[in-house]
Amino acid sequence: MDQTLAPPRFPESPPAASREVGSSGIPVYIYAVVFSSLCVITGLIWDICWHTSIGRDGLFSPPHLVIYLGAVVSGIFSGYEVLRNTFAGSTAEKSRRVKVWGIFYSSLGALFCIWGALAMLTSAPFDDWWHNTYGLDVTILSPPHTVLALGIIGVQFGAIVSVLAIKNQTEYLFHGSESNRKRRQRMLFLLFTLSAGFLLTMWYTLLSEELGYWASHNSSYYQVSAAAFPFLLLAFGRAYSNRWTITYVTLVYSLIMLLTLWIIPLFPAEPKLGPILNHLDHYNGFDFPLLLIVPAAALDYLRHRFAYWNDWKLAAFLGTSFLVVFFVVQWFFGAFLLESPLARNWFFGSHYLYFGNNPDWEYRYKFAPWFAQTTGQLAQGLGIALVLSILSTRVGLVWGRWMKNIQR
Amino acid sequence: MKKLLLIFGLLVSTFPIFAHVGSSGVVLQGQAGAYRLLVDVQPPDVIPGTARVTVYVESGDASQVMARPIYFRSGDEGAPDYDALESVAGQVGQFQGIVWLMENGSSSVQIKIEGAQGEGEMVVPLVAMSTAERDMPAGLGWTLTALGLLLVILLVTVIGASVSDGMLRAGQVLSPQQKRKRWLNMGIAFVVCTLILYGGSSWWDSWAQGYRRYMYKPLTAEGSVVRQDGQRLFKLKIDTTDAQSKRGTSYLSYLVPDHGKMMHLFLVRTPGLDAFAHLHPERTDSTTFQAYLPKLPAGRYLVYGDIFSYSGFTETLTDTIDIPELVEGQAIKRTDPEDTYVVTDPLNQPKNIPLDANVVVCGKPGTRTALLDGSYVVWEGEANQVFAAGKPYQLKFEVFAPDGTAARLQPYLGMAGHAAVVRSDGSVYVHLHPVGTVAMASELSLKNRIADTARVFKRAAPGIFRDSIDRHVAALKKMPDLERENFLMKEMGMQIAGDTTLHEGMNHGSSISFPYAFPRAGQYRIFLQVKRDGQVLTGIFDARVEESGI
Repeated sequence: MDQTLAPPRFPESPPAASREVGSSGIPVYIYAVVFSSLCVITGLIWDICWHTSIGRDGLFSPPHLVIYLGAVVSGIFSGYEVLRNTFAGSTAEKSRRVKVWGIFYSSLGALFCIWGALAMLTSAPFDDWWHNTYGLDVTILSPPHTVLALGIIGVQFGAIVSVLAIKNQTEYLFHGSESNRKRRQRMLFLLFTLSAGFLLTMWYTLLSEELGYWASHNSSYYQVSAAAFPFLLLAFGRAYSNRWTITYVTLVYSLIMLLTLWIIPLFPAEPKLGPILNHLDHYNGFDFPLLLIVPAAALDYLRHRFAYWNDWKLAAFLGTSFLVVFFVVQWFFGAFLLESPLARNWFFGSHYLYFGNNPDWEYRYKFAPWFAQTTGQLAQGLGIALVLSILSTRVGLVWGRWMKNIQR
Repeated sequence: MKKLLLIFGLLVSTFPIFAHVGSSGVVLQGQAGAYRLLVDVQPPDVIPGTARVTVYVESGDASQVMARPIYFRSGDEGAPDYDALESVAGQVGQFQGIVWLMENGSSSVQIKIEGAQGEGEMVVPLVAMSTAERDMPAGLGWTLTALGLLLVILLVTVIGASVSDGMLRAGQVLSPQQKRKRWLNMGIAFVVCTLILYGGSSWWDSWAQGYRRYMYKPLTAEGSVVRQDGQRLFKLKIDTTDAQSKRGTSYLSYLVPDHGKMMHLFLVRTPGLDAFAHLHPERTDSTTFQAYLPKLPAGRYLVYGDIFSYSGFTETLTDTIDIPELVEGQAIKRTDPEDTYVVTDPLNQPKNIPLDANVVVCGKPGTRTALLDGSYVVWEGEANQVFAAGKPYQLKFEVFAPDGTAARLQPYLGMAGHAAVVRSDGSVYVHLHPVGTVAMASELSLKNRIADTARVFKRAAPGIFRDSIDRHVAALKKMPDLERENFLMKEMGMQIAGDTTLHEGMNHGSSISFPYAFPRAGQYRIFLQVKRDGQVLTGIFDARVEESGI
């Protein structure tokens, strides 16, 4: 795309931002939207634990407030950014923004954040009506929850885009000292891995009902994973050049999952809705993370080793590698979580059970027959997963290339 | 979008028909420790949802009243902790609150009361089923449509910016080629958004369809009258089509008797409500019930057949049938010795009294109404009293012997009395007991379930269960009257001596009261049944109900 650019309209101005907001030149706004991203995902995980442990909630339950805090911080900071740039921004600042509807000047990230906050706002009255019409749902995915989830993803993606735009501007807009430039790069990488890890956690959370370890010996588990993860991982890997970007992003995902798994169950909770088949006195934890970090490390290693390949060849290779490594790791680790008594503790948390489920259920700790597949069925299913994995990888590479070039 | 948002049809205004017809609320009067309570529960019309619970403490000094839901499936062990009900401002001894009901089916609200007289508990059985299908209010529909459109426009704009000026370094401007690319991508984004909205709409549709599938659907039954050996034999055949989506295929095998009878059948001639029978058909197979008809006049009759499931789920089968003329000269057979009938003057035609051995003239509040054996009933209240819809009342009747002294009532089907309330058009029907609208079989089932500590209810095989019930009912029928009445009262936990009772209103003196809230305005007829000197007597009364606040 670079070759089609028209000549610059403005001389490249000195980095006003870097003088204004400290030596690393990262605006407060960026920290705010990454914080928002953290709020919405931890709020959501807490909310899920609330529903599996307490059950009954209201519009202003504590986990909901954390989610709203994320939406409000994101919406207010982004809205302020847009209004300030539009009505009080310097020419130089406006030159680094996209123009919307002929009036507003905004960064791309702020637009995604505003869209996300608006979608989250829309979901509230929709969800309220939904509950009055179809009952108080207890599933993660319903149409109004999906609007909410899309909003959350919008906010989180806005945070990533904001970080990337600042990062990509560094090259030609940052004129600070070399040590400050390095510090800025380190901080931006941290902010990127955090915001990307939060989005990956959100993505996992949405799909968690399909990715329970009880399904880990069924090809559907690998099909969902193969379709869902490579495109995100490869996009992140390509968006921010670093030897171990994907590994770090999956590390953030793992840490969010582990910390919530270990911390939330420390607090007392008791079911407030019947029927209660499994009595609790403390919160259930959410899920032990998928060991995505293992295929992530493999992807990081291989994509650098074969960086010179064209994207189709690379997609076939990396897509296959992801599936093979993920399959080997999760096949055994899923079985460990489900079957091993060693997993029924605070560390792995496989003993946590929704209060409405029967704790004496015969398939609580073993693979249920309806998930069983013959070797032929499994092989066929994995074949489909392989195609999905390669396509997902290919999409991720394209998307990552786009993210790498975000400038505003 | 608007169309998608407003995709559902009009609010379906059919009234819930489980347990009774037309009144979903439950009223139960009872004793909780030393306190006498009247509890009114309005179940939600969408499950999961919240039931509104109002407790009137009629005697005793209560400091705190609490409530919690207990499901038949999970019992006492699976119930959450109590929630406090709020004291209603300005109303002494009245408490109100909500209880969350999460599952369709048989359920109950357990009330716990604390105060000067110590602690007490009481269980109110109820059936929780989704019955309402709601439309989206226009204001909300337009708001969501506007927000939805804004989201689509904003998203398309953002995607356009993402592939065009978002990729330019500071100060660079778009080339014509990049502008074309922006429009192309915005077009693609718009198409994708439309497809996503279409997908969302289909998903919504399938969700609504799933909801409708598990909404309450009344069991349907077909009534017929056949002539057999000169008798008129009434048959009620339950339709089992699509049984799986209604109550499950083995549901009818788990029916239990209420007051010792598998079905309480009420026939009311329409439109005048001037002939009434309370019969107890026998079960000939799991879907068919039959009974010989008494000497009812020919005509069109409303059929209400109450059946009771072991889970406490109760419902009323309804139909309309034509009863042919009786063939004279034949001795009329009776299926059950406690089958009764009566004829009276039609609604709004008090002078038009039919000729029949079983004629009773219809009464009103505050007047003396003669019964067949010369005794009479006074419905306490003012002449020309008008009742308010939705408000719980104590319908109180005083029975006097022909000589004017207080009558000594005998238990009839294990109770001091029964009353059937029917609205003039047949759209409301309820079988009342002195304790309220609750079927005793349901109360018994829930009490037994609460005493049982099993976490998840396990039931016997359907065939074995059905046979055991048939044997039990046959044995009851063979018992002498007194022994049977004593057995039934003991089964319900009542003291036979009659001096201490679990439920107020069952002390078999001369007075009998029924707590009830008429669900909506209209003209109602109450068929009161009591037993005196071994004879079942039916008194008939009219009540006028208007919308409250008018």
